[in-house]
Amino acid sequence: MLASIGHGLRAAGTQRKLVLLLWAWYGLLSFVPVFPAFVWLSSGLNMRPASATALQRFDFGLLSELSNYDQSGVFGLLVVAAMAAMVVALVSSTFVMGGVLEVLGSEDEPRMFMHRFSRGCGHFFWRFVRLALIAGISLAIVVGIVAAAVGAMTAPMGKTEWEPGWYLAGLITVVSIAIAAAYFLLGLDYARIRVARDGSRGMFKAYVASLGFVARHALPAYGLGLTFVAALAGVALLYLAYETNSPAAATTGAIVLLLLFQQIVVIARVFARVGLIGAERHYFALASPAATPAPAVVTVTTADVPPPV
Amino acid sequence: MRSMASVILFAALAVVPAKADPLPQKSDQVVQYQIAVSLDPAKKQLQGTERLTWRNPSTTDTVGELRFHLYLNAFKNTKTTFVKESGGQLRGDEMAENAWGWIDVTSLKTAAGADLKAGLTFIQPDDGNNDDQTVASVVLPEPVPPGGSITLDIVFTAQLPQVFARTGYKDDFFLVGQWFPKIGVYEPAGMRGQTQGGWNCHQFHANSEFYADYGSFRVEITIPSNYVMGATGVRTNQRTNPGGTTTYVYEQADVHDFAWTADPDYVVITAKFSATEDVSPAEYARIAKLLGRSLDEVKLSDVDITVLLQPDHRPQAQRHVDAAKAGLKWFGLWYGRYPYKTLTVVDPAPGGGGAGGMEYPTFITAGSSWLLNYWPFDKLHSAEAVTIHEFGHQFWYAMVGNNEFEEAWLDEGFNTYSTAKTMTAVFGRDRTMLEFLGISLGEWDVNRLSNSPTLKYNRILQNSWSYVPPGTYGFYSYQKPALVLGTLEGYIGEEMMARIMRTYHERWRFKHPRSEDFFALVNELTGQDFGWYFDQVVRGGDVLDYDISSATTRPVRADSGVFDGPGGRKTVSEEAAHKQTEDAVKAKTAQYETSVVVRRRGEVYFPVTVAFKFEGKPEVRMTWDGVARTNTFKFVRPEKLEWADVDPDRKVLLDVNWLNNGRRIEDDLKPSASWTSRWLFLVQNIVTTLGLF
Repeated sequence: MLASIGHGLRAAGTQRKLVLLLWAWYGLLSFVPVFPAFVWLSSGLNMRPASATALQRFDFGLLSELSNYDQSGVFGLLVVAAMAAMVVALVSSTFVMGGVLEVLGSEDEPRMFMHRFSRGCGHFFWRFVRLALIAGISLAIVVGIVAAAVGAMTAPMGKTEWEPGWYLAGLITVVSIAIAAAYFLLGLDYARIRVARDGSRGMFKAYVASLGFVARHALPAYGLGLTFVAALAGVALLYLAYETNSPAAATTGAIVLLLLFQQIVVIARVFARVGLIGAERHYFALASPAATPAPAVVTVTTADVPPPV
Repeated sequence: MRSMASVILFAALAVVPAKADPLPQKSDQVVQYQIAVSLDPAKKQLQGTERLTWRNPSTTDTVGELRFHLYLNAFKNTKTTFVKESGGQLRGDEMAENAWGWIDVTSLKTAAGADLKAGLTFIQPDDGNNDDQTVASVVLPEPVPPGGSITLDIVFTAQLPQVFARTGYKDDFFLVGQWFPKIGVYEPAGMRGQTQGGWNCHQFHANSEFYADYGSFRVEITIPSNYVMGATGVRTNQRTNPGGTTTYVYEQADVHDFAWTADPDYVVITAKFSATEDVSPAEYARIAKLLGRSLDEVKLSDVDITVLLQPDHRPQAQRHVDAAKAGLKWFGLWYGRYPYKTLTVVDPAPGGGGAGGMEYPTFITAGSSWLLNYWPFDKLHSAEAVTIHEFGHQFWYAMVGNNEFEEAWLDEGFNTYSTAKTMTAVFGRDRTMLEFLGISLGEWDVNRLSNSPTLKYNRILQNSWSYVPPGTYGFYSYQKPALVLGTLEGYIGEEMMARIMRTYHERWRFKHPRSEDFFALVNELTGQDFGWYFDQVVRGGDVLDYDISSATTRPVRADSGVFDGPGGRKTVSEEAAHKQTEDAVKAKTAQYETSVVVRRRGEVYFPVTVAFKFEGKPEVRMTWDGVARTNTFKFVRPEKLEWADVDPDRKVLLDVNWLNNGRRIEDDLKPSASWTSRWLFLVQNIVTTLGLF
């Protein structure tokens, strides 16, 4: 597992362009709800002396008054725009993950990074869409069953006079759902890796095989995921510590510094995800060697085509 | 050091002739209750006997009918007014299925033995709902003459509901409130503006609390011996009975209600509020000065505090004690000493939250959670806020006994205002509710957050059950009145407001005031007629909102055109005038004309201060009566305007929007950039996570 973690980190460290590309793409997507928010906030706050409190603390009153004053429902539209960006991101993950796996799998290839990335995106797109649908549906069904079953089992705890039991019941339900959901998400990860490595066409079969793989190698599979999640949590805590203890972002320099710190956190998030995929690829290769090692994508060029006889 | 200072201070007080204490020492005792009740924990039932002596408070009326509240009948079935109005849900709590509550009067006799039971009938003075049995009336065989008394012996059985709307049981936890037949208030002509004498005895509504006359209670409560109990008043006796029960005797005078609780799991925490240890000499001196009273008049009394805590909330014991002490200290200093010897704070059992956050004389219920033991929830001051608020009702409800059915703001609103002031005194402004991760929230923020330009269809002064939609009762009874009082304080000043509130409490302690009494007192002490204010914001429902609709500042342009002068006719071209203006700006000799339009956006008018900040100069402040729709302030000065701001000290708490109060001449991007960066960070994290699934 440690070797896989090391491999994953090296892979993410080597593929800096990939990390930056993903950061830039999702950053750009985020601007869909963020730019109108900036315009709205600017029109509402920039001329108002009262907005100075926004530099000292998060002021609920100010936000409420901004919404009340505007009366145009912009706040609701911003939430809708954010949700739209999230949906686009979710859909684009099926596209992007093909590129990520292709780039990680073709490190030695001399072709340009963008060429390899685009090739992977396009090549695996439909298969990854099918995989995502299968994983999404099975995840929804199983998570629903787990939530209902665990909820029913822990319900008596929530009705006792032992108050911590209420929260424990909720915690057990949430953790159970998280474990079940993680199982299906890890299955999705390994299925994509399998498809990219073996060129599988049967997505259902690949997904089931990957669920079996995760079940057989639960400790390392969950362990790898948790390691990267823990690392991210560490970064998040560092950010919170900065945000809480740094002087209020009241000057332009402080705001720029905050923005910089925030982007470092987002890049770290992308780095961790790419690293996790790298680590999973490595572990999968060790635990389930390919019968016939083959390039993920067979590229046919005109030079390979025999001349007409 | 502190105790030595106290000794010196009080030694000095001893030689200063004290003014007569204006605080009433006793109530006009209209009722005397002697009740014996036993609890059957299995059936959740009470068996009680009640000897009630009622004195006719009128000097002119002969009273031939008595009216009683039978509050527990509100939970009897789905046809009661309470259940119909509430839909079986109140304060976030849901009425349990098949856990009805009711009260049966099984015997009603005069002390002389005349049986009145047959004449006992249910009446519905508010809504004519014949299925509501929360008010009963009985015609007396002999009317009670003015000033005369009647004694009744009542036997009753009460079935407690599963905890809902302040009272009931949850497993072996019992919070027993509104549990005995309680006589209504006979209001003689002249009392609370009544033109003729009559009973004030409303049905129990979803949005209403209570109203009763002052008197004394002696209550014997028999419960299983393994239960821990607490009640209104002082425990004066207890005895163990055969059969594993114990009878506790509680007595209290000068109160208008009695509640009690029992639970075998309570952890009992006791503490003492010390009038010398918990209040510093400097604090006494500051408040005495503020109120214009002698130190002796503001001196407090010691109080025994009992906190009945759930075992899982043990780490919060000190928080409740400190909150109770803060209430005793600040309410006592501002409004008058707490006159009772005891204060009991009850922490309801898990699942019994419907009994939480409630007040009874000398007995309050808290609101807490196991989560508050731990970080980060321990950063929430909600436990303190609830305890202080409910304690505050000892002053605005228990001692100043307004009619909560008809004028709820006089207790809930006054208390919300007082709670915010106390929380601010304890934790500091803007962080009384929460201070965590750069997010802070104060009591005043919470009160202001609930104010909205759309809330203008009801009034503060209306019957509590008449709000449409019913949910707005909370805003009009709690938050808006607090904002009304806070705004008044901002206008007349802290000192005058403190004196008004103090005097109001003193005059109406152990009495039943109405809103008009408060209005009259404000006029009396300020020497001004504030009818214009109360008409708009208490009797009326309109919104208050001022803004700066425009602010401009530009150099005074040199004149152009043809001018006749002593030297003959001179023509100044547009270009020359423009250049002259430009040169003046460059040479910093230009005059600037500034125009600021202040606008009254709401219907409510209120005098406001407008601040103008010119470059390099201190603020200029001007006042405006706020009556017209707009007022344009014009200046010609050698400095440019930087910003203008209406109500710069944010004293007009009723203003629904403070953001629009000010306007800058030049943009400042920082606030929007700061918030946008956080919004971007949030969206980016979510989008990136989803995009890399």
